[in-house]
Amino acid sequence: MNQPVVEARSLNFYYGTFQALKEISLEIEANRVTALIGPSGCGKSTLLRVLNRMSDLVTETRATGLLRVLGRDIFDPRFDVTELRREVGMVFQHPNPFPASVFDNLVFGFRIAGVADRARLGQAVEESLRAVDLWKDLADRLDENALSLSPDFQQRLCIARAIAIQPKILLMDEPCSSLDPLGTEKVEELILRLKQQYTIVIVTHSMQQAARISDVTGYMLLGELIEFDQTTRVFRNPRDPRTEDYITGKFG
Amino acid sequence: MTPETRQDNLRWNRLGQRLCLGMTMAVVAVLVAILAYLVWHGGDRLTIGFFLDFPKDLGREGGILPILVSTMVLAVLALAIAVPLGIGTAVYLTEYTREGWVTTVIRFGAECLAGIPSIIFGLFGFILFVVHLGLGWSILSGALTLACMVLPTIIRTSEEAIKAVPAVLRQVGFSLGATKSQVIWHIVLPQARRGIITGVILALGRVMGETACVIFTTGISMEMPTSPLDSARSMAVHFYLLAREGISMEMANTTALALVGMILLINTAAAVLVARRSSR
Repeated sequence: MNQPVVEARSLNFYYGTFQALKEISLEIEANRVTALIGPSGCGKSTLLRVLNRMSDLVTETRATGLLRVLGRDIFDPRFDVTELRREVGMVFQHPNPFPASVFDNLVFGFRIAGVADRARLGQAVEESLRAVDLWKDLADRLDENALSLSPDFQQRLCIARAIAIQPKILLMDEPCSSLDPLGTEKVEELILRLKQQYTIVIVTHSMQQAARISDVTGYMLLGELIEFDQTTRVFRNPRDPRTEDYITGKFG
Repeated sequence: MTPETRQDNLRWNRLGQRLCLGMTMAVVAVLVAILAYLVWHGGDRLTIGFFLDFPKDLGREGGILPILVSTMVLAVLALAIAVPLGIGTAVYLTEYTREGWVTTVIRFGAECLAGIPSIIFGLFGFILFVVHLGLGWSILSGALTLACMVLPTIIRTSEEAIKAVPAVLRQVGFSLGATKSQVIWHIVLPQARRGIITGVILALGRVMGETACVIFTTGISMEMPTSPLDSARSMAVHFYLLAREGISMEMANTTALALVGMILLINTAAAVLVARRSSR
């Protein structure tokens, strides 16, 4: 069996004195879609943000336990967090392109890495737009301000921006929550296609979405990972009664 | 509601609207009056030659060429000193420190600095730059003093502009592997550009129109400056001397008109430039 891409052992995470994650242990395999579900405040977004250490942006946080991402202990003090983030991309809840051209949005990751070669940037733009199925729509509109696009296009552009620098893992924090049903469908199709190349972890409020697109589902409650298994099993016969309560709508 | 109170409310509503309109008109009227006065009393002498001639007979005749050059050099130099310092301070206060007593003290200090009368800055500049540092009455002394004077304005406006940049854009930058300084350089400052430029223009207007600071530190020489260590005379000082010494009220008015016109032109140009760049 392959080495897991993400491996957590007794991971605890604190905001000040508040414990947001409690004794989380899990393994995420490559090229799978893993969905994290649970009521608001259960820690699923925190878990996602710990994986690329975006959690650092909040002051006074503390983590204990082990968390290996792509085989490295990411809480090791010598660890280079910017390198981690280039390998673990992130897509946010609301579409958030930079108020700049489509082109400038897509090449941001290259520019900060010091790549200025026009041909290489152009190639990266085309590849990333093709990957999110926007190339034929935006090929002639690369100079347009990204904020003038529809929300669905904006969110796919943000996905393209994240994968332009070819990460290995893609984290998505409720990526469809501000899209209409058609936009949601489009992004879900995209997720299923992208898992050929990327390992995807997605936080979602929609159990239907988790059921439709994920291979593995984790159910979280009050900072604990209650259930973590094949999606079909979690939804058909969950091991923990609390999971059943949540997915049958008795609560949450 | 009784019909009477309804009537009353409507009447007050209309009265309030008219009152605000009246006050606005009064403000505009003051502006127009000043401009009209200057045009009326100094407009006929405002020719290309006025900008290109050297002053003659203490400024009674001729133009303001060296004075115009001095004013511009003084302003550019002052901003070249104040803008990087101001933006750097604003970035430090907003991006690198957490809100606490240190930022509160710095911000309070900057605000106090903004409230100090310019003549005090002039005196301070005279003692520090002209006398202690031995720079003499010079454009450099004046520019340094003016920089001190407008720093609070630039810090304040830059800070506001930087704070207005949505936090999520910074997060996106970090999520793409950017370091803190890259996020500031590639995301925060470009996004805050419009507000920062507004602050700089505001500062430019104050620097060009400042008199007290300059007369104490740069002196009143009407010669064409050849180095930053030369004494020189700014347009505002020239105006002050022409009027105060009773040399020529007409030339004073023309100088004032030229100065006000230049500041208006710069403001307009900056507004157009900012609007055009941000509409892309």
